[in-house]
Amino acid sequence: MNNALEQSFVQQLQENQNIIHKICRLYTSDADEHKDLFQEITIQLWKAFPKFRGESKFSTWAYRVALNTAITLYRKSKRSIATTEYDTTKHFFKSEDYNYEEEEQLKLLYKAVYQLNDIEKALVFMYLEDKNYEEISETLGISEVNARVKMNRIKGKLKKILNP
Amino acid sequence: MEELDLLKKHWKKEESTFEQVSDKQIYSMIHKTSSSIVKWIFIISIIEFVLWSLLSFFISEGDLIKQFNEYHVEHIMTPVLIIGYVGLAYFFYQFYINYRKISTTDNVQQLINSILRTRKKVYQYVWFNILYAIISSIIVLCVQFNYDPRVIALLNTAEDSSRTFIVYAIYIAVVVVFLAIFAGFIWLFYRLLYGFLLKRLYKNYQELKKIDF
Repeated sequence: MNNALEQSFVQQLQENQNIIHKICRLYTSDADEHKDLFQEITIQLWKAFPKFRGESKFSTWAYRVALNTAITLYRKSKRSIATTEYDTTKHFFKSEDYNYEEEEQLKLLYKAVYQLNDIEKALVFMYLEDKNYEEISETLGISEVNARVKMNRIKGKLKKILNP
Repeated sequence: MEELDLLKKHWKKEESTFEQVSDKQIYSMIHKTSSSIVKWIFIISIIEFVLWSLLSFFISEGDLIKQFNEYHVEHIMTPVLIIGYVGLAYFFYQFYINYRKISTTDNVQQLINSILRTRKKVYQYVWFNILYAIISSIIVLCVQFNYDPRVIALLNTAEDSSRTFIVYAIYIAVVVVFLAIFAGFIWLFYRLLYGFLLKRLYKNYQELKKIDF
């Protein structure tokens, strides 16, 4: 692949890397795994890049490939079996807006999200990213109605985990 | 506030917490090799095709076939060999076509489907080989009973002492046991290998099917 293509890819990925970081955050449980998945997604994006026509935004195209990689292609390494959770909320609160109660609830929320399966995590991710149901259903290959039903069930499931 | 909305509120702030990857790091990443499931399936499938083809090649070059040439049963053995090679060509072509269809830009359900379809072709090739091994063993057995002078002599001796049935039974039993062990071993190997490789993929596929019943 030529240098101009490589340069264009690297630049766009660097600008949009937070999408990939967010997916890694949901699908991995420690920093090493996060790096592993980030790398695999980058490789898959690069492989698919020559076919990217620019019809959609790079970020829209990238999050689809990234989700696909996290759900179907990524082979978790052995060490991931011993799940060591990183503190997901440690950077959220600056000293002035520190809220103990909210922080505790967020920690529990992340823990609950980690307990969801891969498909449910994908729905949560797209919900957090403000994607509409049309896009969610298109990305997963399910109907819009069923995507809504599933999302409501996930909300119920999270409520149950948080308030047993 | 709903649970997920609280998370959503903080989700936006999350961006500032990620350690940013530099362009140099991205350059180095894109030159690394993938360790994806698809790549492993591809490598394993190629190894399978090569191994099974080598196996059929060595069998066709083996002593048994040389011995068979002396019986002049080419009219039986040539079609058997041709079917084997046509099978290899057909399955390899199908595998390649399906592999080419795997695209990370498809939706999740389509992607899982294409991966499983690709895998299924190799799986069918393995069963084709097992079936092929069983059928060709039966043909070999029939040829031996009719043309192999040692087997014919053995049968004649047995006939003299009225034990033809026992000789047939032992002969066939040995082949059946051998084939059963062979098929059982292959089946177990695949269960373990692909059970391990595709477990997560099947789980996600089932989950999607469940949502979209």
